[in-house]
Amino acid sequence: MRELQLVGIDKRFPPGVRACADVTLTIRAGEVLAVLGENGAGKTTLMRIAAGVTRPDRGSVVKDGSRLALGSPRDAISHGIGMVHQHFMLIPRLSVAENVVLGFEGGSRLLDRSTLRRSVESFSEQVGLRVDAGRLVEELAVGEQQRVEILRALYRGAEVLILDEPTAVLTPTETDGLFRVVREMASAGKAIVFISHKLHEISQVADRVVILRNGELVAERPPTTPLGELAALMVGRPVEVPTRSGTAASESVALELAGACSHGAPGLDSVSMVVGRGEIVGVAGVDGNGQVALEEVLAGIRQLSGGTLSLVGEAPERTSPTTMRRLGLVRIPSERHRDGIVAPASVWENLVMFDLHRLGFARGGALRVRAARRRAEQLVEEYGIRCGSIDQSVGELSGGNQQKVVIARELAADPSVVVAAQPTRGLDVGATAGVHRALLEHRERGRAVVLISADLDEICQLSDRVYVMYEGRVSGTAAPSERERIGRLMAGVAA
Amino acid sequence: MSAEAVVTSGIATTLELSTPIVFGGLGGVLSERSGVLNIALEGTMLVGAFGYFAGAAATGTVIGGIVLAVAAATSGALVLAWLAIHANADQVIAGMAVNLIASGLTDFLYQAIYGVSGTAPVPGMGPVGIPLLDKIPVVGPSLFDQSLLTYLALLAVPAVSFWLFRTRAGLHVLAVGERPEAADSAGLGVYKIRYLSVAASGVACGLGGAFILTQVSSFSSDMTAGVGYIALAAVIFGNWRPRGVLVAAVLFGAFEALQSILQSLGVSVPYDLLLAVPYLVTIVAVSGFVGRVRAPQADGVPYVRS
Amino acid sequence: MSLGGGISVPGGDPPGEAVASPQASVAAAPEPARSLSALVRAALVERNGSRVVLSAIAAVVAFALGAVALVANGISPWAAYSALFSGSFGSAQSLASTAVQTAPLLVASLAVGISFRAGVFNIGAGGQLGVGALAAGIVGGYVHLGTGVELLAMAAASLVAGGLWAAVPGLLKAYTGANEVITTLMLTYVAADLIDYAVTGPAKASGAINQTPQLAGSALLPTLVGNTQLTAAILVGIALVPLVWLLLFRTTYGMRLRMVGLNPGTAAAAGFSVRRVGVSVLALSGALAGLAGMLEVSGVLGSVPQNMSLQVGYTAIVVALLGNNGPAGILLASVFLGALTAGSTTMQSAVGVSGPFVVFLEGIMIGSVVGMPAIARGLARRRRGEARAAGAR
Repeated sequence: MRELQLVGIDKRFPPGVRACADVTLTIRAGEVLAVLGENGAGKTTLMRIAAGVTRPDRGSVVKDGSRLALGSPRDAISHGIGMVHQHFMLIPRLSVAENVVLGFEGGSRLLDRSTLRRSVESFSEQVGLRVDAGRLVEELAVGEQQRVEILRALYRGAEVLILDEPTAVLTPTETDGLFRVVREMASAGKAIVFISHKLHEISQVADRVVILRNGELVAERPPTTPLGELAALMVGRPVEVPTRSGTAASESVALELAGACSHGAPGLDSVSMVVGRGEIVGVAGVDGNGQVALEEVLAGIRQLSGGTLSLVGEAPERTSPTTMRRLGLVRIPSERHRDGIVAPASVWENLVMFDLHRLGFARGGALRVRAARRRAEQLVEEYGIRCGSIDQSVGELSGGNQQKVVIARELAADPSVVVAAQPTRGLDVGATAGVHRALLEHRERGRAVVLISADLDEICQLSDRVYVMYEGRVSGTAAPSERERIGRLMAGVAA
Repeated sequence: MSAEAVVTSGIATTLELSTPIVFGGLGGVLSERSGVLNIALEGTMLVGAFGYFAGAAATGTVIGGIVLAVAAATSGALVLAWLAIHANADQVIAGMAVNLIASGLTDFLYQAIYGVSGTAPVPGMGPVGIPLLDKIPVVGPSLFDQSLLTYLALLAVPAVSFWLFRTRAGLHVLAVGERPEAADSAGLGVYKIRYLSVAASGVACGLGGAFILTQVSSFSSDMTAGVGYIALAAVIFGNWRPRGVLVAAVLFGAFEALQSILQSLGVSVPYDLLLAVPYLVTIVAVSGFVGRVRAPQADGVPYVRS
Repeated sequence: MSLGGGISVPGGDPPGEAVASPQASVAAAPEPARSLSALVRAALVERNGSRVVLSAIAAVVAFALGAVALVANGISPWAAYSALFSGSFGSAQSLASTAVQTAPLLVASLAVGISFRAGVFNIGAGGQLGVGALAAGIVGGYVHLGTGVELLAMAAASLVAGGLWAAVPGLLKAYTGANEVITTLMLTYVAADLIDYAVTGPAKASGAINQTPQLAGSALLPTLVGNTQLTAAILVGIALVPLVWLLLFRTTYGMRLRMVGLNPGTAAAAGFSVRRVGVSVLALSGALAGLAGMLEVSGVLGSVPQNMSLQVGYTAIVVALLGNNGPAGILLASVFLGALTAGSTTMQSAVGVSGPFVVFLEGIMIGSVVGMPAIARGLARRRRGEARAAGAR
């Protein structure tokens, strides 16, 4: 194989999301191609199309001039295209050898475990990826599992190997090892596609970088391109948004974390931050660097394993969603569908369910439905939620209106602190502006906002001050105007 | 009774009572290892019992009975398969549907075809001694003087075990039941494998139902009387392994045999309470109090290809 | 459903399918009247139509397949179905017997419906009903109290017995992760064995028959209409319908219960304890099922017999599914299935087929409710495909 081409690939997903917009791209044997982009930029969808997992609406996959019919992953494998998914496609309770050969066992109907094991082990030595083929996959560390995935792709005869965010789950040492393997495979003539949103990895491993944004291929660059420029290409999107006015009046502290630690992968590693009244504090960072842990600690779902959290002067011993709300902290969760709404329930139920007692809708055990519905009507009006009636189920609303339901519920209580986690993810430009306006208004009222976002534009537009997270720590602080610096801190490069 | 006679009849009764549990349990293992939760073992076995009755009544032969038992039970299992695999129905509800249909339909057909008065007993399958071996004292008359179906059940355990854990096809079943999306990406036909596994479970249940009928030679409504649920219990207690199913089935069978022996000896025991032991043991097993049983990861989860 | 402890709500998952509140259906009413085919399409293909339509189609399918089975056996479906109808609605006597069959079924179905609403799969209502019946039978048979008090004591005993019986799987689920489908199912058989043990041993009445003592006047529910079996049981059932509705839609507990069932993640974020709701809803569901057992003993059977049928527990699942786990729907569906059961005796004398045929119909009905949308979507896809192919030409 000399090259694999993706030509004019177009893919939409049902609620009108365009994951790939007319993308044309060439992958060459012997080189490592990095595909860079934000979450949701369409990187994974594009490569799943190349690997036969997803079918494009339009466009084709062409190998050395001939068009491939890719109806299934197996078709792609037979043309030498293999993919290592971000969530490994391994079967935990089977052995390494069984996983490697699954579906490609060769002639015999019987499985001779020791022969199988020997042949997989000798293959693994041959390609330089040593594994213990007899062990169960569930006993392996994540890095080893990834090696099994790569080994399997090679065993199936992959000439093009697509790695989807391969370093997301690896430790730094494992990452170095992976890069070595990737370079070796490229020099052995394989074509490697390396999907990533981590800028600093690019220069270490790639020969060429393409950048996707909102489903479009926006640029191609050499890996030596300055990180700041790559970051700008990756996240910069032209949106006119409401802007901040005046300086923050952060005389008094609303929320403080001191040396906060929590378990998790990644958890928090000695995070300290101060959020004052009347300011929006941005928490920037590439996804998966401890933002989820921070969000959950603040919301009272996850407990601190060290350090302290104090909220308007109080430092609760054990936190829970209920105590945090009582102390005046609310959250706009990053996983809206999992934690923010009850999709099959009505708009009014979603608008009142978090605060039945505080708002006086519970009298004895009884639910004061009429009062609750009146409240919901008000909120729908006030926040411009577009719905047929307050009895419509939230699941039927657009993503933007669903988020409005969450925001109306959370902000209407006039909380002293709002934790807004990825509040505009998946929303269109108009809905995004609405969310931003709501957060800015909250700030004007002298309240505090913690804005956790992977969207650098959002961070820079709204924040008074910015903390950057990297691998569970605060890697630095910056002013919102220091874009380049924030980009470097996000990439874990000393600023 | 002499002590020897008691032991002999105890072992013989245990094996007899274990046989349908083994068949049903193997059926459950096959189906659930491929990811289809099988609450319908009871109904499928009942259909098998009725099938044997109808087949044997029509042809006057044991073979006719067995053929129809297997065919009928397999069709019943395929109803479950379709609901679970293609309609993405909740598999508990799908199993309930099959059980209700089986219970109602067999009884209705029995009434409609044979009338309320019923019909003459159909040929059953008596014990067949294995030459020489059945002459061994105690062990001979207990182990080697059984129904052919009991021998088949005992042989089926290592056979299914070998097939599941030592063959390519078995590996594919395990893969599909653990992580269908991974199996799919390896090019395995998830739907086809699940259909075949559930059909195989129907064959096993058909044999189990046939055995129940051969013991009494006539059909009565809901005659499986919960054996299918005990088989489900054996699947769980046996940790979804054929050998585990055998151990559980023999254990459950022995409990029941013990009652009847104690009763016949005039020892007063709370017979009914001891009958509940298999169910209680299963509850303990799923609660993880004694070692952890682990269901196949995708057991009961419909696979929808993205 | 996975044995790891994950749960799914029958009919609750796909957005728009579950009628989340009774207001939703009221609000939807003024919509312009749609054609029958549009209603059918909505119910089957788009999955946003009314559950009543889906359930009605399921009933039609069941009767149609039933007719096929009847014809195949040389029985006139017309004769069978008209006997079924006259036996359930044809006369005052048959209406009474429909009501008799409906009462325990209605209460058991409300019990099942409540648990399904909370995403908890209580499929062991039969067992809870059995222990409730046993408790009521023992109290009524051995403890003699005055009129009224006696019945209250029996009701209390059945509520407590059923509630505790179901609380066990609730606690096991909450603290060990044991799947409630398996535990409630297994406990049903334990309950059956327990009943047989009790009525043959410690709770056996004097005399030859294995049963608890025949209940005397003060332990029997009062008869409503002379010369019929119709007792106050049906009034208890009907009274529970609005009570369950109030519980589900007009109390904070009901809101917690429903939200946990629909999305445990968001419910937890709102500060609701998923665990506590799970345990309490199973206890509540079991208590109601236990009460259904008391109604059966005190209103129909008169004592707890050996080999007491616990089939009502499974029929209740059918009712809850047909009624979409809502009190009003459950009322309708339980009258429907109660009528089928009542009419089956008339059918028996008319054409010689009875109860089992009704169980067969029940099985087809729930099979249809869960299976038909897939068939309809498949047909719709094929038709769309053909239309596209025709358009391309």
